[in-house]
Amino acid sequence: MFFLGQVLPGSPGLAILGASATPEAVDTLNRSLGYDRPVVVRYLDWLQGALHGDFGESVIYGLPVSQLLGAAAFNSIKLCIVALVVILPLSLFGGISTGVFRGSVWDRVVTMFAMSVMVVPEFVTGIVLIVVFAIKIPLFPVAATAAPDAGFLSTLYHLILPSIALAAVLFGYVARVARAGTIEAFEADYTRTAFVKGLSTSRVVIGHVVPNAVLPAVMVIATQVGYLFGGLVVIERLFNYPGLGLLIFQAAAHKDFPTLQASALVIGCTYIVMTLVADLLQMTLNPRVRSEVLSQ
Amino acid sequence: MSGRLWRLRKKGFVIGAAILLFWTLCAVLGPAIAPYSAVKVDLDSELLYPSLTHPFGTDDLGRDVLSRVIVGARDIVTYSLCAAAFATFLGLCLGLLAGYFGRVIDGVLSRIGETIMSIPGLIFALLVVTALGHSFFAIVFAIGFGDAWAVARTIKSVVITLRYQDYVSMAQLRGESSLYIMFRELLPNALGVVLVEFTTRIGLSAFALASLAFLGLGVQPPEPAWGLQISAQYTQLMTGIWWPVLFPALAIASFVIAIYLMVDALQDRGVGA
Repeated sequence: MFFLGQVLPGSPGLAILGASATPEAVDTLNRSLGYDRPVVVRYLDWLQGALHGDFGESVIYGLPVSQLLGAAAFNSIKLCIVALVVILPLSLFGGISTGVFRGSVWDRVVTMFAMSVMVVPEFVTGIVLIVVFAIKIPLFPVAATAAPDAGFLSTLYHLILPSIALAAVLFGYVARVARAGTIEAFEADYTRTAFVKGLSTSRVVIGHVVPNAVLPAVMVIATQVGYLFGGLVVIERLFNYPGLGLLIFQAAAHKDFPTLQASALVIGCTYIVMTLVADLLQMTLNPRVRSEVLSQ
Repeated sequence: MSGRLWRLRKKGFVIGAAILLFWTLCAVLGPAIAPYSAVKVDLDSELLYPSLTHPFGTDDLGRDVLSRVIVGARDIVTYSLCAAAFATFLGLCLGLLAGYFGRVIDGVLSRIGETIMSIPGLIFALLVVTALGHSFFAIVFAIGFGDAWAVARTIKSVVITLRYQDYVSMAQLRGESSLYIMFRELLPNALGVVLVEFTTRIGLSAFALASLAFLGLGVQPPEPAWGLQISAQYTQLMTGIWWPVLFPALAIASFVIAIYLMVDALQDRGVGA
């Protein structure tokens, strides 16, 4: 990541001073920023800073990167939490209900819908949502950011459209896995036993099928974190929401390397942590995987 | 697979293929079938609401949105086909190498692949385009290179199952070169997987391409690419002007959904399973 940043043509000095700056001025600034030292020295320097929470200064904002990153990450986390809270129950319901009523019209409509939102770029979903629910039927505001002094509910209200657009892709994945899990659980021996015991269909579904369908569906979210980051860039740009995605976009557009490097580091770490959490969750919740790991 | 569901899938394939054919025709004929010029600025008729003369309305520079949607098909079709072909070919070579030789080569290629795939695809593309510029090859590379490693992983898993078949051992005993075995013995047996991978990558490339264009970091103006039209017009959504944005958005949606309808049907047929 760091090295990719270094091979980018165009120097940061040029980016700050603009295209009309004299070569001497650019040179001086590059030197004062330490960009004339060898790549390896700069890398070690940067690594040392990063380990102490110091990512250097943003070239375009002139503020410490850690400060920018903190504020942006906080906004993005807010957006992601709203997205999960909105989309998770919906997609679980969609997946389980289509699994229970397999082959019905409902199943076909929801499966088709889930596939569509899964493959369509987030900003396209966002635009359709804006046109339908903000312009044609003015239920939600077009802007994602509420007034600074707005209360909790108003902030939440502004976040609903962008969060749905962001998580629509997840709806597809989660619903599909939940549907497959439901179907599998229906065909399992323990479900047959439950039916033979004389339990009603609804009790079998709630007691035996749902728990077995929910787990893999929740797991799939952890594996989709990477997509979520790509989505953040696009959605935050569409709704002009000051989060991590918009920060990365602006850093890339203006060749702001310190910011770009730090953001990529944050993304990489989050990705690794989420994958780890997913594995651990699976181990705790599924005895079969646990024994497999132990027996290795 | 029950009969009814199978018919549904087949219908899906036909619909997908029809939509794709339609956009391919638009891509080839483009300006010839568009009712107006896609790039000519006409300030007398800016931001006209959709009507009979302009079914999709006009944008802020008075350009006919329908014409721009038709002509814009060319970008997404050529770019996503090229990016998918690049990803599939590179992935195929890497997958064959890793699967056939195994051990060290597989280990090294897998680690490289994991590193690259741990950067989210769109962000990787964003970085590459920032580094290499917005030329045709840069964009195709930015989108296809990350994908290639995912293709390689799939191909590798297939090659490993074929690796110890008798006909491979026979070819080795005959003294055939590794290159011959990879491309003449292993590849023909993995063609189904390659086909499904290629089709899937068209869809993923179109996704990434449209997103890059929307961010203004992909195809550059004055090309009437769909993502770019949205990028140029979407701020007007605030004032309730939706038509220059919604129609290209729906075009993107129809394109990717058509691809996935076909992928779905191919996989159901057992191609590439």
